[in-house]
Amino acid sequence: MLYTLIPLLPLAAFLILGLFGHWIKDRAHLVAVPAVLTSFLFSLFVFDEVAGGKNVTIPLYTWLTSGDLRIELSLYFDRLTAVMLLLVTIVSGLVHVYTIGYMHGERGYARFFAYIALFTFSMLMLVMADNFLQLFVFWEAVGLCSYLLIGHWYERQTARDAATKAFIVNRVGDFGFLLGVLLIWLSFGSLEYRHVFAQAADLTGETLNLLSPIGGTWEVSTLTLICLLLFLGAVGKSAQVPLHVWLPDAMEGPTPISALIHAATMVTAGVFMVARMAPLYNLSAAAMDVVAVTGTVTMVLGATIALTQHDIKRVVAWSTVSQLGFMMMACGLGAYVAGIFHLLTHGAFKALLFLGCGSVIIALHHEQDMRKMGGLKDKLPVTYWTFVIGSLALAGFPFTAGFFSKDEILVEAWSAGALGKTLATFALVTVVLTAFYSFRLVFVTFWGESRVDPQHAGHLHEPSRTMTVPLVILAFLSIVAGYAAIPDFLAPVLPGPRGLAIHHEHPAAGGMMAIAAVLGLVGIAAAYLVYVTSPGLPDRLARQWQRAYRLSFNKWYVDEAYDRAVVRPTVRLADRLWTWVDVAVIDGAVNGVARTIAWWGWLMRLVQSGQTQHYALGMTLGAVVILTVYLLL
Amino acid sequence: MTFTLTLSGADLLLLLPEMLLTVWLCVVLTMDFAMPRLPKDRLAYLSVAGLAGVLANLVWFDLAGIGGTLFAHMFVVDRLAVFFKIFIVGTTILVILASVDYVRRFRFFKGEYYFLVLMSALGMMFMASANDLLSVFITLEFSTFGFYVLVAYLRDDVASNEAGLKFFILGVFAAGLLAYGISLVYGETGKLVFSDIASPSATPGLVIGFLLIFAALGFKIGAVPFHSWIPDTYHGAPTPVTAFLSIAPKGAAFAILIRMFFVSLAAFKPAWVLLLVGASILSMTYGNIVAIAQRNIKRLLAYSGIAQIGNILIGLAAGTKMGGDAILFYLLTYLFANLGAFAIVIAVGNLIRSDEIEDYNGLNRRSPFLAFAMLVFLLSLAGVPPLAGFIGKLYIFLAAIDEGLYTLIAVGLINIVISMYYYLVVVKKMYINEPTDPSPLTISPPMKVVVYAGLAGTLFLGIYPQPAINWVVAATLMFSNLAGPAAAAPTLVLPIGG
Repeated sequence: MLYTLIPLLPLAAFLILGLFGHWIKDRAHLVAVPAVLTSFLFSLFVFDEVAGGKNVTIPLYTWLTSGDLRIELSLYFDRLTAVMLLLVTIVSGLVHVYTIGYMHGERGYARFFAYIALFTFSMLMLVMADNFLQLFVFWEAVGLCSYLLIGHWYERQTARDAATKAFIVNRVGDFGFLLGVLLIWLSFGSLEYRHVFAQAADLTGETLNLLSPIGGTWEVSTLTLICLLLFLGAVGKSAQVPLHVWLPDAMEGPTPISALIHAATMVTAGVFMVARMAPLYNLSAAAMDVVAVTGTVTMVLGATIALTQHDIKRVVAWSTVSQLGFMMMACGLGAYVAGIFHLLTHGAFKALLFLGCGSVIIALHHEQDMRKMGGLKDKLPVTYWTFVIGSLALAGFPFTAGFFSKDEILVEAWSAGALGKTLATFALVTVVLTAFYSFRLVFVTFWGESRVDPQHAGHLHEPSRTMTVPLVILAFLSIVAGYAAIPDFLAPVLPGPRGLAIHHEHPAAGGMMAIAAVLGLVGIAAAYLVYVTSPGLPDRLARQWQRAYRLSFNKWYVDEAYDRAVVRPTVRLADRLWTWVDVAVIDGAVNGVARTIAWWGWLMRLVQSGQTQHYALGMTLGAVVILTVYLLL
Repeated sequence: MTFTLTLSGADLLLLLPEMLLTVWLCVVLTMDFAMPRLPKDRLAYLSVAGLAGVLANLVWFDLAGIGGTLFAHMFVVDRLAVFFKIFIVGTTILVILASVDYVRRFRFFKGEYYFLVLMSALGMMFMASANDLLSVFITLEFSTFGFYVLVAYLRDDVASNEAGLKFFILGVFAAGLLAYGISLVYGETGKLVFSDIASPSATPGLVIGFLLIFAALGFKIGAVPFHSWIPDTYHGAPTPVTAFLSIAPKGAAFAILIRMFFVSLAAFKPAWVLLLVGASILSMTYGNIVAIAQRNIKRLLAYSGIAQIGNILIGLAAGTKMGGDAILFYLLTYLFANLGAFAIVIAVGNLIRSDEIEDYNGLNRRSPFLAFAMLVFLLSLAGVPPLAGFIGKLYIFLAAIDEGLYTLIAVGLINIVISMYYYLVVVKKMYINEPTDPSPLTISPPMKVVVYAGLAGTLFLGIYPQPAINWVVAATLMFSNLAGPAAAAPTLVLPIGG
């Protein structure tokens, strides 16, 4: 019962707000916040139960039965589920509270709460899924919520475009995901995790001829194909290259959404999925390499772009892309435990950074350009200090949560063979970049001269208590989460390809820790040097490295490339289809039929001559024809 | 053939509704003569009161299950007859209410109008009970006489006179066919009662005879190719008479058709299915296509009526008990939607003195209620859910599917699409076009009653059809023996409402 209530409470909140939001209006938080906080308390309880090592499956009901296919809707709890439940309910609960202040007085207040409650429900169901179809349904459901919430301010063209873009790009990934699910059904005859995982090893030798429809031969390992198709879904959902383009645009949504969906929970679903499917991925070295390399490319790309952006939220968004790549790399190298560990700590400090951004944005009346900020640290002390803690954690400053989880990944990566060593080197470079851009953000926003619009400069103040309390709690978590023994806790449920995870006993552990810490400090120092001591330096650097600067500032021209290669040709093709096929052929045929019928109508109208004798003749002829037919047949 | 006529009190009970109505129409006529200064409206309400009494009597018959035959089986009272009598009396009540305003336009014989309407209703009630070919002929002519006069009631109007004359000439022609057909059938079999005729072999004389009878009844219901009188007559007749003519006689004629095909000709079903399928396809297609070209709303509804009759013939072509149920149900939906639509035409015609579709431009601005009601009625006629017409069409198509009449259903579905066009053209004019004269329109209380009754029936039958379905299923129980899978499953459970 308790287990079932965890997702049902947010669902109930959604239904109440969705149906009666019209009347509830400004009191919407009174419905949503208690629901999510109660879910959190229950999650704590579940955590306590599951921590003992037992796995619980709660069947809710049989969703559909069709031939051999039998889909049960059930909730599955193990240690991985338990930590994800805590992450989702904590961040969601804090974001709910934060929203009270952030969205205060907005027109869509109740609607907003309804959607985040729906999102919370969907995300909880996603992490508790015990079969692939349930996973897919809620995978789509969180995407839908994301769409609705990005487009919350639907009167803005940019918000609508961003929502549509997020949806379409995700659909590309989900298409692969669905194919993967279908292939699992074909190969295993079941969609339940435990059956699939149990039989996975039997499938190792099997191959599939991809080119058989056209007569060619291209044998591919079935397991690799399944893993890659599922990973395509993760690429979309977790904003990995090349489907990363939607996440920065998604910042058009209200900031609490960026914190909840586009930093802490939904975008990490891809990483969670790969970790959850560890028994499958472990059997396919090729798929794991693809995951690891994709993650690394995303990590580097995100970090380089974050260096030059001016929009405060977009810097954090690109940082999220980079960090997701980092986690994905970890999973690809078999360090699932480290990847999930980083997912959790990242959930805390990235949510903190986004909410901090939101606090700044509200104080400056929806100004998001860093060039119009500066000198805010005295005006917004709570925001400033919590933001610094979040940035330190992101930069991997010693003894923050980020330091431990990052270190865990680096150590594991380094010990994962030649590929691991190469990718770990890239990761170390990224550590410097990460520290640099996060402190660029701190220095430009909070230090130096105020460049704030004088109109707002006079009455700058800290936002309401409902917004600052979540910041403080998250800042606290951004430090202490690193000390929780999460890797040891998760290790039994997430075996890597080489058996259980290894940890700090590794000889490289101490050295790696020191190197990462030093590199982080170097990044911070460089940011201090560039943005505090010599204010003219950034512009000079940008001029000197113009080509690199432009590449980074324009996000490697990925959006432009898609526009040329995909969007415009599609629009042109649609246009052609419309004018040639639709207007000329289909409309022509339809209108032609209509015109023909109308013409017949006019013709037959002539039969109605008005002459009684014609009518009588018509009747007689009719009778005669019928008689003839019957007598001759 | 000896003819003994003995009537007991219990036998007379079976005639009670007809006798009540006979007495009442004499009262109405006498009052019209005796009190020349009595406002003619009062006669209308008096007629309605009488009809209400007859209706109560019929409902009692239906609930008590009173039935039997009279006059050597010429006259039958069973649940089918009672259903059709309730249908006819109900229609007559609504038509009289819808006539109150229109009758003021007549310059002569305002009082006799109600008398003639009641006379026709009486004739049609006898039609519903007609159980042999002789009574078919007598009652058919009886009911039609009243209509000949009613159609030509606008004495100063050339169109009305012409309509009356055409109707009369063609009607007499049809009566000739009917008489000839009856004589052939009698000559071949020596029998007149439907249940006796059931002959083992189809001789040419019998075939010709029944085909001629079908032609005459086809004339009555306006099925192609015996439809030619319909457009001109509907157009020229006073609109309430058109409304009456488009509904009540159709019901009465179907009572006879059902008895003839399901009782006398049940054994020859494979032979007549083709005839009915052909008539149905021709009626639907011709009616719908020509309706597109109409500019006058009355002519539009005339052609739409021909098409609707084509739909009802689908149920007859199915030839099963379920087909019978579907016909009865369809007639109910047609009653409310078609009478409602005519009521709007009458109301608008009274106010703006025009029946041109052009003049419905912007009706929504002038009277949102009339426009909305017309929208509901037209959509129901087109068969749009959740209105009555949808269930009616669904029911009749389901009956046909059970008999495997797929071609017929395909044509029927195509026709629904075509009909949608001209119904929606009227809707477009009402809702989108600008009115030429934006002055608001108001309607009188009796007219409102008719429109509300139409709306209530159309919505109720569409949303909660189960009671009506139970009723029609009970009314056709006598056909349970008819072949077809539907006979085994006497109740249809519709996915909607029920």
